[in-house]
Amino acid sequence: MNLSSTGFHALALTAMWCVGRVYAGTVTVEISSSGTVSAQDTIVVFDPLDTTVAPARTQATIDQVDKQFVPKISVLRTGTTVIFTNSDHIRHQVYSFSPSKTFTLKLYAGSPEAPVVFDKPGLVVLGCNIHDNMLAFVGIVDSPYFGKASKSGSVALNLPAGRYRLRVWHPSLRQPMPSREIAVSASAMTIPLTLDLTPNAPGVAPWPE
Amino acid sequence: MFSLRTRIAVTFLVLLAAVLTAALSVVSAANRSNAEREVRRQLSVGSSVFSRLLESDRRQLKTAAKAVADDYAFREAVATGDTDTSSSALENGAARIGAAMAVLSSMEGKVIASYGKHAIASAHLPQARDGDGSIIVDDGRIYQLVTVAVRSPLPVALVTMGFELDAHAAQELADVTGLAVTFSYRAGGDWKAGISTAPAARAADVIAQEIEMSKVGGSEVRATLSRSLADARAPFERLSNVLIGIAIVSVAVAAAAILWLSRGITQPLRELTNAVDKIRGGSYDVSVRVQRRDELGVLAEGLQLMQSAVLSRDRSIRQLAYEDPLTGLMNRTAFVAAVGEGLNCGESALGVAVINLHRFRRINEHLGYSVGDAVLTKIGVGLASVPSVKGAVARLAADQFAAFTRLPENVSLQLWGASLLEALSEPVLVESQPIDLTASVGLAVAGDVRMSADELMVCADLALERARRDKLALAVYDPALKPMSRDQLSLLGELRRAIEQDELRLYFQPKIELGSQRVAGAEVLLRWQHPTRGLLSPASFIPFAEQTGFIRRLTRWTLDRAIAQGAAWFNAGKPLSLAVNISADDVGDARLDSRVATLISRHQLPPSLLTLEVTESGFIEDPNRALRILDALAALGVLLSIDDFGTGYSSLSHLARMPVHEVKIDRSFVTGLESNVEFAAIVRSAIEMGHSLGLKVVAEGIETDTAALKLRSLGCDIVQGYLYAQPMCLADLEKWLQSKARVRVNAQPVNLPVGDIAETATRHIF
Repeated sequence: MNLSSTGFHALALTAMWCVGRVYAGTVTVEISSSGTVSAQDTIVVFDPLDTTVAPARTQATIDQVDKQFVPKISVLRTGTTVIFTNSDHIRHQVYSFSPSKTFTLKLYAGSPEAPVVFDKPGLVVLGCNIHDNMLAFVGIVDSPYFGKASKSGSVALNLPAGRYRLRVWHPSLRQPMPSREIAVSASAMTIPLTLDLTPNAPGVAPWPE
Repeated sequence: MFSLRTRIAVTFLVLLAAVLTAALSVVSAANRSNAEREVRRQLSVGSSVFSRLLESDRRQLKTAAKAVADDYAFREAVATGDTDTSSSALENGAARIGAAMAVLSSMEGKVIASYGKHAIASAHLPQARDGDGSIIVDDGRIYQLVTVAVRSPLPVALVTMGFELDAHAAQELADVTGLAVTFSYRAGGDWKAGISTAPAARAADVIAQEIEMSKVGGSEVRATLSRSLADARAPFERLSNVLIGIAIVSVAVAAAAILWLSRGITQPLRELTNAVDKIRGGSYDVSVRVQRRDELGVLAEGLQLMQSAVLSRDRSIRQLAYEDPLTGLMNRTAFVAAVGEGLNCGESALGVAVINLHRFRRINEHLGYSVGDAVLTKIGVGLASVPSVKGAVARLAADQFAAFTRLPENVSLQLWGASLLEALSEPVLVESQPIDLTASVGLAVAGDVRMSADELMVCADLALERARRDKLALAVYDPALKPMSRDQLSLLGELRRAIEQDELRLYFQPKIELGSQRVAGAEVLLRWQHPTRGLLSPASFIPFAEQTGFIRRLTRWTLDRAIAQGAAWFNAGKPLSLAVNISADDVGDARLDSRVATLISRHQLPPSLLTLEVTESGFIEDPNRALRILDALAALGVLLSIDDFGTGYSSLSHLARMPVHEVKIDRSFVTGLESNVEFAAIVRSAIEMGHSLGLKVVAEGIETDTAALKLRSLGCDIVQGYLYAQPMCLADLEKWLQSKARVRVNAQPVNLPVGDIAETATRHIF
């Protein structure tokens, strides 16, 4: 499984869940970086302000290839069950001390004993105790409307008309962008964003709640 | 002046010492600069090593701190905000790695937990986190801070740990760099020294380099690396000391070797010098003890050879000087010296015998010289074998021997002389042919009277003369019978030297032709210019010369000078006939004719200008031999005159046979002419007899006009005497002659076959 397929899979589910509702049109967020890294993989989330959303019962997979988590950055709905597969020939440990999900997977090869359910929104930082370089970020959100920026920095989402809170996150985001309300109508719209994406080791940008 | 040995030793030792001193000073100077350069190099390397060590230390400490921070449980405690657990884990980890202090802080710098002197660490947290100011000072102690992040997996907190740079750490740094390490820090405005491994410093002797360790805020720390030059020089100085030791030992060894070597040269040289000194002193039996094969050995051997060569040459010179070459007996010189020695040291009477062989000349003439030599040799052996003689035998002249002995009390001089004659009585066997010889012996003894060897010899000579005259086999010198004053004896000794010292002078008394009153010639007379006694007349020394046989030498000398003078006048165109006296003893000289021939030939004198006046007594002993000699002389062309005519007993028959040209009437008859009638008769008959034999008649000793008139009336041809001229020296004569007319002489040039002797003989040998 790869990044885009995961994204599409999630979108597909959302789409099925939303059948019968009125879709106003496509909202495209165009992100450009004024920093040193590109805007790719920037997480974009639209939190609906007018409706509540039931927790998801979706599944996701995060693989470990060549001593790297793949994908490195993921966005999941709250309640998603993640299977941490291990494609390497060596064994890995997976842990998180993040408040939204603290867990430890003991050293294993192949498939883990049990999937991990991310049941609280927030940012989860994943690491491997025996490989300090292995690092993955998983954003857990309640909203079903989210995406990751493509290589060119754009995220296109079909949103029902209504009001939304827009938030973005990237590990290298220097200045957290204040959340803003977006009114989505029937017509298509494009939201341009310019972000200062410059790595700030060893810290990481705070998660926009 | 120093000895060769000292000079050799001093020269080489000074050279060696100079070379060693130069080498040592060069080494020493090199050492000094090397030491400083070495120290600077060490400092440069050391400071680089020091910085790396510090960095390496920091990294190690960081690694240690990271191990604590990376502990999963600790991370979990920190990540989950479990402060109590985090605190105790921090303390445990810090203690485990020996940190003096530890602080756990949030990423924002908020202290979560701490350990040890955290307060200080907290104060430095910002710098520690930024990497600067990792070295801090507190209360005089210096700490190194390291900060590591606690990851979960992103950094969520920081762990800062401090380690003290204590004496142990300083010592470790010092050990690794090989330099003294001193930490110092700034307190207020001043620098203060902290931990130091340097010994009590001698600032002048230390080279140091400072390294800044920290210069942030209030904690300025630096390390001073230093090295003592003395320490750096120590190994070089040890080496120098060893070199000095080697130099001293080598000088000592060289001194010993040089002394040994030079001793090997100078010791033999000294021995050689001693040997040379002894040889110079006249001892030739020095053994040169240098047994070596080198040059000195060769020199010693050469010296030894030279010594024996000198010895043998000395012997042969002594032989020539003191030995008769024919018989090997002593010669006269040696004999007289031996007699003198005997006289000086002897107590009992010393007897001397002079032995003359009779008619030895005949043996030579009839049997040959080789037989004659053999006879002489055997006689010498015979005399030497007489027990009382004990080898004290000498050969004085051709047929004359001498011997001396110390006479015992009971042995008389005659008895000893008889024993000598006894030894000569046996016929001598030469080539199986027995030859009979007779001899005369003259004896003299030096008893109570002090006598010199010369005087004793003269006495013995006189005794021999008497024996010969009296036809005795043996005669003893008797001072009572024929007294001879010591004065005369010594005079005779001096006469030998008179010829050598050229003290004799020729005097001339002119002869006058009575009829014409012209100068007919001159008689040559002798005067002795004695160094102390003045001018002596012949009467004072000629008789002794005749008695001792020395007259022959006098005659030879006179002939030589007279003939030379005659030749000089002849060559000058003023020929003058000269008359030379020949004694009776001279007539016994068989070689007289050849001597005269040699002389007139050498000086180119016409023989007719020379008249030989032979005394009448010369014919008495052996008239036949005298006749032979006169014939030989006459054959030379010289004129002969019979001197002292009338005193001898020569028979008229002899006179008639003699080849003489004139007779010279003895002065005793002339002086008594006026008073004694008998003398006048003798003179008259002598003149008549002379004229009847065709001879010219000469009268001498004319002192008065009466005598002159008388002689003229008697028909005397030539006169000589004070009335006309007294004897005068050469200069006076030449002056006197200037006013006189001379008898014209018919002088023929010399044309004589004189033979080999004349050609080879020299004046001195003659």
